[in-house]
Amino acid sequence: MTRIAGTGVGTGSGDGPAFWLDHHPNITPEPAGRGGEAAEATDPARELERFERGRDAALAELEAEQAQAAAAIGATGEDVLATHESFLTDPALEERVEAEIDAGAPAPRAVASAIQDWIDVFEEQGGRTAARADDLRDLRGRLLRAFSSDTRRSIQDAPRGAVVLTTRLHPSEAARLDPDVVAGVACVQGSTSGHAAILARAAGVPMVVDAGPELHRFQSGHQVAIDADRGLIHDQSEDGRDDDAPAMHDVAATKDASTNTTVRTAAGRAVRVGANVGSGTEAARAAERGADGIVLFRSEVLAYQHGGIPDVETQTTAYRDALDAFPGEQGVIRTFDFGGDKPRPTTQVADDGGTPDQSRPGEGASEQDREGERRGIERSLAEPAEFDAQLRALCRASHQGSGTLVVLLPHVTGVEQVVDARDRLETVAMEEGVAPPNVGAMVETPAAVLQAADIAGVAEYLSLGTNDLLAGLLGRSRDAPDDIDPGTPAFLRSLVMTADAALDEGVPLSCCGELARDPAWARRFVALGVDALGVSPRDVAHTKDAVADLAVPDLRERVRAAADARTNSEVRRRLSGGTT
Amino acid sequence: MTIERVITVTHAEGLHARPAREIVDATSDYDADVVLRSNGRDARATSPLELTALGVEPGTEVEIRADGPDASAAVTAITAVLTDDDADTTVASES
Repeated sequence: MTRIAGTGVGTGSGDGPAFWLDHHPNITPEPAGRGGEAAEATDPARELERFERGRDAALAELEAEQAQAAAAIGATGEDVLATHESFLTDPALEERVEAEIDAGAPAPRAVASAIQDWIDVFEEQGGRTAARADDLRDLRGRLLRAFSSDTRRSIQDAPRGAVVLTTRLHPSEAARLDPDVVAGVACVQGSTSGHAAILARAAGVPMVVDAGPELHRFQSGHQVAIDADRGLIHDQSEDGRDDDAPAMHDVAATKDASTNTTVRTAAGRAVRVGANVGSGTEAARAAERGADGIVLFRSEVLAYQHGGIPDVETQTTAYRDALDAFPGEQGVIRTFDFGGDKPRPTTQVADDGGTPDQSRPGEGASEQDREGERRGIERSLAEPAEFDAQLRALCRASHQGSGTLVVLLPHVTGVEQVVDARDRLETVAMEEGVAPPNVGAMVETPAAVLQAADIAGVAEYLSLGTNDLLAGLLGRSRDAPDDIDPGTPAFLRSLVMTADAALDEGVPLSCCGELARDPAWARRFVALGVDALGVSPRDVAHTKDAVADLAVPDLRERVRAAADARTNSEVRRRLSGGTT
Repeated sequence: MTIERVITVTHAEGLHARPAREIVDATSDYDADVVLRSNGRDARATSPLELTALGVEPGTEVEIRADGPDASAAVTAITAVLTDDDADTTVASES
């Protein structure tokens, strides 16, 4: 049996023929000569990827050498290498290389020629600048060597529906992941917080990282399945001998389930099961899987995708695409939720994605640390220009899109935040000449629970964020919520208080936390009065099954009784007092 | 907001390798677009290649032009780099 475990990135699963990017024996590296190459037809996109890959390799080499140099020859050697590194990522070099590639040059020739231009400029200047020309020659050699030892296949050569396997996915490759082409990715190394992981998550391509050298047992061409939710990779070519991986087939089956109908409780109350998504593409996939609208669109994913806050036009397009996936249905789009475990990306890159950000992700994080503890709506209100731009994009998308927009405010801790945000939204809507969209508030802090009724009084919609709420109630970091037991009196009482507040104020309540995908918890939320559940697209079908025809009254009594319990064990006993 | 300031470079290395890198680093903290001008040539403060190509030696005048909401702070930061005359001399061996 071949089934190995790594760490999942993003959600969902996919299967298809394995396609290894690295160590491919059938590829002969191109000679690294400059000039002299025949005028062959080149594909600029592919050559650009090759340039970025070569540069990634050269940068990695330089970083390793810098560390050695620092130890061996001190600051001078380290300094020279740091200068080479800064030249490699120089926009003035990138521009010339890109221009050459656009004009039809293969990557090695483009690099050789762009660097030669700079060598000429330096030598013409003379003096100390001319002495730097040798650094450029050195750098050119390093880059051309990187090309000539590059036997890596292009991610653009992956056949449609392939599962891409590699030792480590480069950010420049992750930026080109297309969920319509690549069914999944698995890596020997890598981390869930690396740049490649962020980009894969944003693209909506399921990925498993850190699978270890065992991954090499999966050969190119084998039928492989990736399960990002469970962090598993499974060789389906061996099916029949392996009875240990039924989950993959369940997933495939739910894809086709006829779930395009609204589910109702036994008493006839409609319960919407919508999707939590991060892009228009993911929204479209959720629609195919029978989701009832979008319960949570995480707009910060856009910023990760673009390596910075995208401009109004780009945001408008993304929001409108998401709304268009669900004509006539509700699309809840949450404003940027940075802070905590989600640092704001700080580097601006071209919107066309043509120049992937080569900076180290850690840089953004350290800057974020200095920004302090502001999160969610508090942070947005402190950045009025950025917030207004997002509200403007939301107003335009609301006007152009075919779904009904709710603007959801993250990490609300007080009534003023909702009032202030609504004022700004109304001002922007007036400037745009459109009707202001409805406003919702996340209830995901203990402060918001205690003031749920007050907040419901100034919002049209409440949404429970169970991940942050649990962590906040128990004083835990959001980074490690896996071992938190939600069956505590404090959490259950928070749910009851929020549900009662929403009911009293006549405001719809949804739940978009991870817990909603657990069938038992989904039923408890619905029993308490939650109108809509948000889950990842792949969990829509089973969540609908979980709550269809639910007999609410008994379960509601049981959950409310559990909330009155004094201890966790009493909670457990009261919750399990029946068929839940 | 556009800010322009002319300064005389007193950094012991002029505007080469390390100071160029320091300027790129300093500029990345600001939103402003910054251009340095010397001997009739422009260099973006984000480009070590263009900065080095200016060939600015100690004692040369450089015009710093910044455009953006934090232009003033960006000019101050860059001025600090170019007028840092206690730069350590470990790279004095540079020809």
